[in-house]
Amino acid sequence: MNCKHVQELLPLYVSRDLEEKSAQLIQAHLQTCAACAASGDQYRETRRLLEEFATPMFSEAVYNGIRQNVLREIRQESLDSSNLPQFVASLFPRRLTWALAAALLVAVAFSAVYFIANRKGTQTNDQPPLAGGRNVVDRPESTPTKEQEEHQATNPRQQRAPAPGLAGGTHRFERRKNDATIKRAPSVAVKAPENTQLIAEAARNGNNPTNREIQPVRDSTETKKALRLEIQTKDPNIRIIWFSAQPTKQDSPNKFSKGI
Amino acid sequence: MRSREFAEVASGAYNMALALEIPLPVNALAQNQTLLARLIERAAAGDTAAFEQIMIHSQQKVMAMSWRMLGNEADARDASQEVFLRVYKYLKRFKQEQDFFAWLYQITVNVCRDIAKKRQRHSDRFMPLGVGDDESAFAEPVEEGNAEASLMQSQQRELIARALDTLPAKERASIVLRDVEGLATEEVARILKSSPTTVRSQISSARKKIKIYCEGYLRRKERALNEL
Repeated sequence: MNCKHVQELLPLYVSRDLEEKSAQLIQAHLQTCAACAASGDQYRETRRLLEEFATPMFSEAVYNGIRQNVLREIRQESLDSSNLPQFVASLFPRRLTWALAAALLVAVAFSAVYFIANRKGTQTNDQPPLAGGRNVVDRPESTPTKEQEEHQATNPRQQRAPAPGLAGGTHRFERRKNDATIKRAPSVAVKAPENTQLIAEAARNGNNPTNREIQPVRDSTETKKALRLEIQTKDPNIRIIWFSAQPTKQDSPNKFSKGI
Repeated sequence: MRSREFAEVASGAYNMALALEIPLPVNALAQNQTLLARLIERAAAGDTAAFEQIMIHSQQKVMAMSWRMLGNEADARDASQEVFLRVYKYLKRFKQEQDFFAWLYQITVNVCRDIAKKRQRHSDRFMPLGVGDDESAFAEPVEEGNAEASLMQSQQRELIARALDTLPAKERASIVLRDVEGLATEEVARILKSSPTTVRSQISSARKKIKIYCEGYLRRKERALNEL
């Protein structure tokens, strides 16, 4: 064993932390090497100082102060735990508390989803079913356009057969051969879903019911004041649309609206 | 297991406990352990009087260990308070088959490590004993006619304390538990949650550094004396 190796192991040799075989080899080396022997003595001296490294003796007042501070903290914590929330929390282990909180959150979320889903279903069921599945639009009354007024003036009213599948009310209509005019229909208490696009069909040529002009989608603000009903019959070629405008002084008591 | 048992002198003169090192007879040790186990059981159930007895029983070890780890009385006091608060908090988790003082050392080492990290360590923080510390905190009796011995002892203590201060935290903990507290390598490894091989390596490194520091100190002192 050379000096370098011995110097590495000397710190453990002096405290007998080495295996017996290594300790014997080092002991044999120390007997022949003065430098390594001197290092060994220095390590022993250092270890002796460490073993005799006595802590200064603190007075009883220091220890007393430590104990009093600790007991005061403990009393304070026990007073804090007398609060109801902390008391409740202290009853349950931390993990159980978290598990209960997570379960409660999941239950609340599930209830909210179920409630919202049911509410949507209820809203859908409230709307009356119609032939062809079209929704009936309930539009507030609005001032009829100029074209409509002209058509009202020139075309006689006609009775129409009631549209099949129309829910509620008794509506009597007259089917016109040419331009159809429909009697004023009482407002139907149905509500259209928002942003429903309406296709307003008005015949430019009143004598040809097939000659239809599809007007662009009207802004909801334009039709705000007019009651307009649109019904799709079983026959896909037949669609009933009628308007109900505000009665004016010039109009006859039996106000009728333009229809197709 | 190599351990130092301190005889407690009656009449509550706890400051004299360190002055006497008497190996207690086996039955006395067993009685102490039974008493301690009972105190732990009662303290875990919330009995603060029993916990106070535990503190009295272990305050010197905790304070001494803290002082050796941190190097000054104020930090050692803060560390001791924190140690006992943690002991009270986690006493319910303590199992009776465990070694209470090994568990206590573990908590002390962790607390001292935390405090050392928090506070900035200055190179001049380690002042000579008696300067910066509250002098009334020490109750060291000075024997008549032995002032020189006391002075030498004080200087040696300062030397070792400064040498320990130069060590990294893990090496300092290993060397204090092994050489100062007198615990076996395996027990030190258990307290520090490390392996015996690692502990031996740390102890070896710590002893080399302390030896080099002491040699340098003595060389400087000798040079200063020669200049005079």
